[in-house]
Amino acid sequence: MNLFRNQDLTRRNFMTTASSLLGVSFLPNYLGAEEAKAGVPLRKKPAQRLIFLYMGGGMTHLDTFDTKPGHDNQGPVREIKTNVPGIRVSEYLPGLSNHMDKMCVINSMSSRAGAHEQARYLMHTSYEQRATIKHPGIGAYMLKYLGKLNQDLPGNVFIGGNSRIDGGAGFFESSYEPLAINNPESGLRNIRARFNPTDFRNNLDLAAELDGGFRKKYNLKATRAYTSMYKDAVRLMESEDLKAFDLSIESEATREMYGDNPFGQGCLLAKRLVQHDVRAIEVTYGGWDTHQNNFISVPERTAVLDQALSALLTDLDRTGLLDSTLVVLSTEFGRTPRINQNAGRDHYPKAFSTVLAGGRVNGGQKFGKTDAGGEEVDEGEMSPQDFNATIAWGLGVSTDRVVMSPSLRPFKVAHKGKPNTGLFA
Amino acid sequence: MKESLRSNKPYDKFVYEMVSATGNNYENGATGYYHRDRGMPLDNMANTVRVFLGTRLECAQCHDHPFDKWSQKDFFKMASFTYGVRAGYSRNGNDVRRMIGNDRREKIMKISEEITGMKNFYPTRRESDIDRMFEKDDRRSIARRRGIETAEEYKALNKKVMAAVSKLDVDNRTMGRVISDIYNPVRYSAMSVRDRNAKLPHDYQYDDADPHDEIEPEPMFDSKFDQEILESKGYLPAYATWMTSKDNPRFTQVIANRLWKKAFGVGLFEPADQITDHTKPASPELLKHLEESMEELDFDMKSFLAMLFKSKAWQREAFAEEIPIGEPFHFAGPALQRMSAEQIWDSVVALVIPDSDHFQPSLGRELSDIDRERRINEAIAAHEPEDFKDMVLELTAQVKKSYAKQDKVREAYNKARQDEDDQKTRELSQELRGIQREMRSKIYKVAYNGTDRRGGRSMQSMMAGAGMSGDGERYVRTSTKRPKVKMPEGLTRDQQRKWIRDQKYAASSWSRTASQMMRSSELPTPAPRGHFLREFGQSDRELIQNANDGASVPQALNLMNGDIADRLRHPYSVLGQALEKCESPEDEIKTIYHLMLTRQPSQAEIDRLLKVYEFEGRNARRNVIWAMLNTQQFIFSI
Repeated sequence: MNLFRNQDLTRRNFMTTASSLLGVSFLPNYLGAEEAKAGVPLRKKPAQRLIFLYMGGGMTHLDTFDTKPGHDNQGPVREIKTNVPGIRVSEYLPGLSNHMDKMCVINSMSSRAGAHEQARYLMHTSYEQRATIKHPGIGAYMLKYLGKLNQDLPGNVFIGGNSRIDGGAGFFESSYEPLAINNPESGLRNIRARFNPTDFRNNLDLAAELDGGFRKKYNLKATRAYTSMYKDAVRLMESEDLKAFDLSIESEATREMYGDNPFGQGCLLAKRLVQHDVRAIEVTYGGWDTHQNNFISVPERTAVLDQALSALLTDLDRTGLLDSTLVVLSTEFGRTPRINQNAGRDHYPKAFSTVLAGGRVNGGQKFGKTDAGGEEVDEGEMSPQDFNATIAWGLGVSTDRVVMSPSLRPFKVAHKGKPNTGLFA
Repeated sequence: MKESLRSNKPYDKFVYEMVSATGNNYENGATGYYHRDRGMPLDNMANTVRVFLGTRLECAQCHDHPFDKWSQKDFFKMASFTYGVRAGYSRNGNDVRRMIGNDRREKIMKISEEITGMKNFYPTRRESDIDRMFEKDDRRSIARRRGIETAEEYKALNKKVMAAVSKLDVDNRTMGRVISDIYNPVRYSAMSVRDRNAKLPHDYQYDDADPHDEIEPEPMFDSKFDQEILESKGYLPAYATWMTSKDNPRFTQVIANRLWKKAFGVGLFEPADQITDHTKPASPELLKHLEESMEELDFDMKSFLAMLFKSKAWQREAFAEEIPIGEPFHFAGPALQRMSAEQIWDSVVALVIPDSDHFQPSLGRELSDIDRERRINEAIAAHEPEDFKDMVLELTAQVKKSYAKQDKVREAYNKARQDEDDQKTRELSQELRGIQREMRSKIYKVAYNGTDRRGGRSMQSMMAGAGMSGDGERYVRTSTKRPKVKMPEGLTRDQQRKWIRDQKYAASSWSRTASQMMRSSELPTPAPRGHFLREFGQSDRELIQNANDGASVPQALNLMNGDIADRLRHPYSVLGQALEKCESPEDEIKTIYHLMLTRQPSQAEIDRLLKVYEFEGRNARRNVIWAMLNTQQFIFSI
């Protein structure tokens, strides 16, 4: 166990090693350091922030990023040219066709999870859903390994209407749980005081005074946590950065550019949050479960997605954030290439598509291939684990480092996934 | 579970009923225990052992336990007890599906034989399947064995047969959907069990057995196990009897320690659900005494808790020092505990809603849901298989017509969309949904003999059925009533007008204030994300004991800036009504302390708050309640 012979010993990992030897979470760091040596070297100049767009219900691949013109499976949808010669996408994505140069489309996703809940969990955590443990998501890992960028604001944020969040804190401490925002327009809940500033301060002081004896007598970790948490809350209420959550500051034109709907405005909020150095934001958009009337429902969804994601990429580019922000478009599975009798498509995990953009990804390419009917992956099969490992690598999150759950079982950010580092510049 | 706790059902009986539960959920609510882990019998076993026997087996699911003595084989011995549990879909129409499928297949084979002169030539809808058949040189290329040399030849034959078959008027997929739709509302009703041994996984790596071996059920401890029950009544009853027996070394120990922990905040051993051979209780004598008491009381949890609450140790003030993790704690007093999310919420509810223990506004909906499930189940069961088959065929035919209609509308819709006629697009999309809704209601009518979402028994009879008749033992209220108020005497005319105005405002804002204020056990669990309960760490119920009592910023924001303070001080709330009766500021201060902190204020506290009343006048009450809500004393119990 000769830790000091490690040639890569920088000042930073010397400190980690030293703190390990002092008994602070020794096992995880030690294993991490050892395995990292054997594994994939960390990315130089990784992306700092993540915007993770999740299409709930299972986004059809044929009608979006993996068109099969002329094949029976394609139905009435045509394909169009993009700004990258030779690459085409569905006619449902006219806006994104102008951003192809910023995107790396992965057409060869493949998994075995065909039920919503299990697949959603797998895509968010890289592990199968179990009744005995809950795994953290990528945002929680980013905060755990890399820390916050802005100390005043929450480190990870979840925007969307779901009642449950997959890929939250998992077995990490509850402080890694994303702050959830149901409606991007209303921003943070309970952020405005119900008193004028003087009364608010006076009442806070009154509470502290009434509590004085108690806090002195019970000067314990649990009570101190509440004292400091109240300070954090007040600091957040008074923070300049609070305006990150306020969409009304944006011009009417910008808001319209993203689309007047919760997902569009969610993407705008995500952009404002990365601007204020929030590490990881997930925006979800449901309704992709098109068992019936696929060719009616999908264009409704894609219209929203196309506008919002195009706006997001334009806006990130314009503000110089594109290279430092990795944008991911993910979903739980694709949809059956064969059109069913209800003019719908059913669940299809065997082959589907996802997208990486920004974060100095090699844009303007399609990675992997499916066969003529979009039914089987022919080239470059990528599992959810590999996909998540690739995301993690792009963000400078070690895919080899091991963390121990409270029950002392070892876990990694993308399970056994191997990053495809070639997708990045 | 609520009924069991309310009636103080002995703990061993309570657990036995859950672990051995079978049948329909509308008759036996205990089956919910297996529905929770539906389709995951191995995880369910690990959870059961952890909850009731305080032992962690989940590691042994995939390999021998690295830190405990359990082998993977031990795990599978236990797993066999419950491996045959099937939650959901006891009758799922498979028999009918099979019947109809066989009929159709027979017809197809007959047609096929007439055309091709071959037996077993089964046609396919997709020609690419035929290409594949000829590409691969495997078992599936039966085509060759049939003496057909080329794909083209095969395709030609297939085309002929398909043309003839398409005239058969049975649409398999529509039929499948019809059957699923029929069973859909009752898909979680049933729980059945068929004794079945678990098999070792394909990668089993130890010498004592081979991969895929079937493992006979066997309990993990050497305590008394009744083989006779297993043979006469089956796996589940034998397993439940063994688990809840006083002879089981860990069953009593775990519940005695859990209840102790509930009272004192720290268990005699920790973690309470991870006992190993190395577990050392803080006081073995005390633990032994608690176990014996539990057995003497025959698992009467109420009496057991009463015993703890009457002890001097519990009645002492909370211990004011840090309790180091991993070292035995000798209970100089109970630990200081932040109240659970449910305790804090229920405290607030009790301060707002009069009689909150009996307030169950969603009871009606719950009972009618249960009743509906029963009626649908009975309606489905009333069909004879033959008659069921005919019904499905008839429905399929009807629904098919509806599809034709849908296709037409869809076509028009597509055209409207191309023309960018938003108005028409919306209309057609609505029309389409209407047709689909109609189709579903047809399914309801035919398959459930007219039973639909509504109807059924009256509220009174359902409540009586659940032991809640008006004059019965349990008093339940399903709506909040406003308190009776009387104008004080001796008011001037202006004061009277103001009083009436205030009352009008209070009356109009009361329903909003009281809305959704019910005890946490009456709300859906988990509460929706963002609810007060979730912000304070209520479990999302995805894992055992997944609640937490950690501090977080949204909690402070909720207490400081949310609407709780306003609800508390509403004139009709429990607190508001009590304050209406106070005659002096000092009286109000005492009432607030009494109701919010369950204690009397010290003289210093009274003096401090009297100053607020002096300076703030009318706003004083609002400020004091707000400040009190934002003290740590309100959320910690000492």
